[in-house]
Amino acid sequence: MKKLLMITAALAAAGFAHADMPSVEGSNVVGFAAVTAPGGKNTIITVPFEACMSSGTAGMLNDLVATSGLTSHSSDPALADQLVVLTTNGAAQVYYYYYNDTEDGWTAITSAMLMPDGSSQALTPPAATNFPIARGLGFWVKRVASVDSTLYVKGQVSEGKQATPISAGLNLIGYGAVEPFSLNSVDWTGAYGFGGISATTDRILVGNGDGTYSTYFYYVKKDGGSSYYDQFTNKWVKSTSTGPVLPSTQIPAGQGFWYHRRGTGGFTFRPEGQ
Amino acid sequence: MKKAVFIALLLALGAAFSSQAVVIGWAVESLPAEAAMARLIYVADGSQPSLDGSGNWSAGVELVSGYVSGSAIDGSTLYPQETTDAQTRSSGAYYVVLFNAAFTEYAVSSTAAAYNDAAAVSTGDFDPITGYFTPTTFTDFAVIPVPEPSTAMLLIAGVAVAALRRSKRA
Repeated sequence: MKKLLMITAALAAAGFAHADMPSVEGSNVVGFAAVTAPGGKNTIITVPFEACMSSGTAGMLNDLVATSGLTSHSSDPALADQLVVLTTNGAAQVYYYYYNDTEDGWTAITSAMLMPDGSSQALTPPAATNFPIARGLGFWVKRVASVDSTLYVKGQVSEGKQATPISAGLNLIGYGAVEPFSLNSVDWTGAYGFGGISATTDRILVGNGDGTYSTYFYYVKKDGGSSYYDQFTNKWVKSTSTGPVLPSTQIPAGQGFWYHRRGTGGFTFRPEGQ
Repeated sequence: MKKAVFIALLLALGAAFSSQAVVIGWAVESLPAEAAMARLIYVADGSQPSLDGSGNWSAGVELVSGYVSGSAIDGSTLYPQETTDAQTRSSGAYYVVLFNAAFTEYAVSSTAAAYNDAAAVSTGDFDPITGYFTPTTFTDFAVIPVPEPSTAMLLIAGVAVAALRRSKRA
């Protein structure tokens, strides 16, 4: 008898709870991606989501990167994990730095910090709550802790195709996918290569987690070159001491990379096609 | 005693900093026809290196990369290489050395990449390579000197004596 009463009570409670849940409006689905952030290292991450948790608004840095599991500090940025975003300030490329403040989450660092050109500058970045992060943009996580952690990026899963503008020079980007991918498995229409690997061949730099990179070149065979090189043409290759090789590893979901556009002009990276 | 500990600590810190690796990007786009192999070397005083009569490099030379060969050389192009130098240098320069297929001749790049070349030398995550040291001219190919026969004989005799002693001990 008691058992029957308990089951009835449980069913009633479930019915009330269901009635209290707000209905989901629109077709947006919330997603999470877990990215390994090694302790004491820098990792490039990218957000595979279009918008933040607040439906209908642009994705802001503060909303997209969860601070859970990361190191915070109440006042000293050097003792906390940091986010570093590559952006432009006028014509110059600059880094905006944010640290994980114990009370306030991602907080702008206004003291002098290292810039892409090697200089040290004090800047005033916008608040992380007001810094839009488009899907496919890459940025750094600088970890101070000695233990590895998992970083969670979150937002609304987009049904649209990614379109990330790439301009001449260095671009910090990624493929906003929730699955690991191979460089040669996505659409790179617009990538530039010439003469095997030349001074204007585009490059991709994937961090190894130890301060070094694995560099890949967009290979286009030389006119009249040996047929041996046919296997590499219009593909990303690694240049080794014995010749080009195709990449053997996949890039984890959520990990970003440098795209070095070496020719003039840019293009729009559309990994899923037009 | 405290002073000694402090100095030891400073030395350890100095060693840690001086051992920080850098990555040097290099390539060749107008390779001489004779070239079949290449390697990157570091010269402490930055002057152009050469081999002496015994086949030894001039003072201050350190071999930084292994040999680059095979399909890495496509016609007149030596495809870009990224070589890690375990030392962070405070002076000197990097040169490219070429060798012929028979390994009997060598040539040295006429220009060098300074130890702190902003484009070709990477010091870490936030400072990726943005350009490759790409020398376009080289010295004429010169014969790689081999040790005099007498020197070679002495060397062989020395090795033989050492081997004999080892076998007797065993």
